[in-house]
Amino acid sequence: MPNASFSSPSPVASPYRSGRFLPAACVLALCLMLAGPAQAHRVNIFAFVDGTVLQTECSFSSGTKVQSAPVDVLDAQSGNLLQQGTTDTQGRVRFAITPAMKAAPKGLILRVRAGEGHQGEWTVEADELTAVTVRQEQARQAQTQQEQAQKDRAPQVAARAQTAPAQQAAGPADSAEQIVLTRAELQALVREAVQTAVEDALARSLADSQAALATTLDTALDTALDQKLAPVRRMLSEQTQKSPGLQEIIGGLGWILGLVGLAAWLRRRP
Amino acid sequence: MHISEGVLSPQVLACGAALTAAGLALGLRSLKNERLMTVGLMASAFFVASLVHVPLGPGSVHLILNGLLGMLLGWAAFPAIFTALILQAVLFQFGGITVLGVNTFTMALPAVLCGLALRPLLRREGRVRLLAAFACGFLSVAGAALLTALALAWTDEGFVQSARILLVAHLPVMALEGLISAFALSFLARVRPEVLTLFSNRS
Repeated sequence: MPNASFSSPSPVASPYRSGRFLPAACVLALCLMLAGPAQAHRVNIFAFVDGTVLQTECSFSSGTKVQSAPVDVLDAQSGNLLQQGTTDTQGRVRFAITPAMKAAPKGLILRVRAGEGHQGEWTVEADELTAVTVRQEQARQAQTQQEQAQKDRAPQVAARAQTAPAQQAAGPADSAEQIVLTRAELQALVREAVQTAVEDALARSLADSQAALATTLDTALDTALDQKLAPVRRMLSEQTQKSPGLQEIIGGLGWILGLVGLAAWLRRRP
Repeated sequence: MHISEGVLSPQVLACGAALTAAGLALGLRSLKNERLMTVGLMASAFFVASLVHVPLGPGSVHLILNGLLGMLLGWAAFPAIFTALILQAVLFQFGGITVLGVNTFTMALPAVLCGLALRPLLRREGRVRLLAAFACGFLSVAGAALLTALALAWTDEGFVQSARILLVAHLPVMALEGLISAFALSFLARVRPEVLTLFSNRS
């Protein structure tokens, strides 16, 4: 008789048989998953150094751009506010890199405040900014060298112009030690003088043009690299702003089921 | 509705953590062994729901499903929502670990209270039950928006502004969740009528 009562199909007998509930819940979960990918309120922020500008992009995890939201630039060590900007319709802000930003020892923290408790952060490492410092410094040095060289040359040329007639004038005046030169000897002397002057000038202009070439190369390399790296940066930005995929979802559901199993085991009646 | 890491002050965070701990204790005590699987399934639904977004003007908002959990689970909604929020924080980077207490409390408490308050109406037959389920889904989201605004009251946004923005932004979600709750309850009433004994047998 106990067997008969056990097998009787009474609907109230065991209210939480999972046999009928599980498919329904699975259908519901599937509907929810297929209903559309991902907007939840995570805010992404991504920043990179572009020449002498800090380029920042902000978006929600669904890909919607964060529009007209304040972005703070903070010193990562002291937490001081260094600069502030507001995102445009594309979710972008550009910050000119100031000496204070470069001086930050632990880099910068960029914080976007998207409202209603939504906030995202991005760290810019200090060495990313020092690269900018070095580049700016190189450009400045090259420029000053060039200016210096031009300044140097002007008085030297003037001095040479002055000394040349003076020597010529000194020649006949110094009558006590008159030197008699043959035509050939004079020609050789003049040739030698002209040659050294020309070599001198050539060396100078070579050094100048080398410095100029270095700066041109630097800037050309920078622009070329920026162009080549743009897709990589875009990929990186997309990577950081990726919405949750199937792996994470299934992983989470597995975790919940596992925790239920664990709880059931812990609460088992001996 | 997920407040991000680093927005709230430590006092608010500690307060939320303490309140959630109390809710978790209540929930775990009221949780019967045979209901574990239901709690797990509802936690899964909550976990996935935040990925379903409702387009709304320039932005969009996501489903929460807290009302459904409050209605079906009672205080056990606390552990279910807590677990789902941990996994969302770790796997999706929604919300955050330090804000877990506040986020759990703001979403779970209104749902539990709505579920308990509407239980007498949910026991009735027919249209009253559907309306009660709709109200449960609707009001739970509204309550969650208000509590989130309350948590934000000590930030520079303030309570009134946050509450207005959150309530307006979530109006479509409230309506949708009301419909989902009503649909889910009527579905369960047909497929597994024993679920409705919940509302009469247990506290």
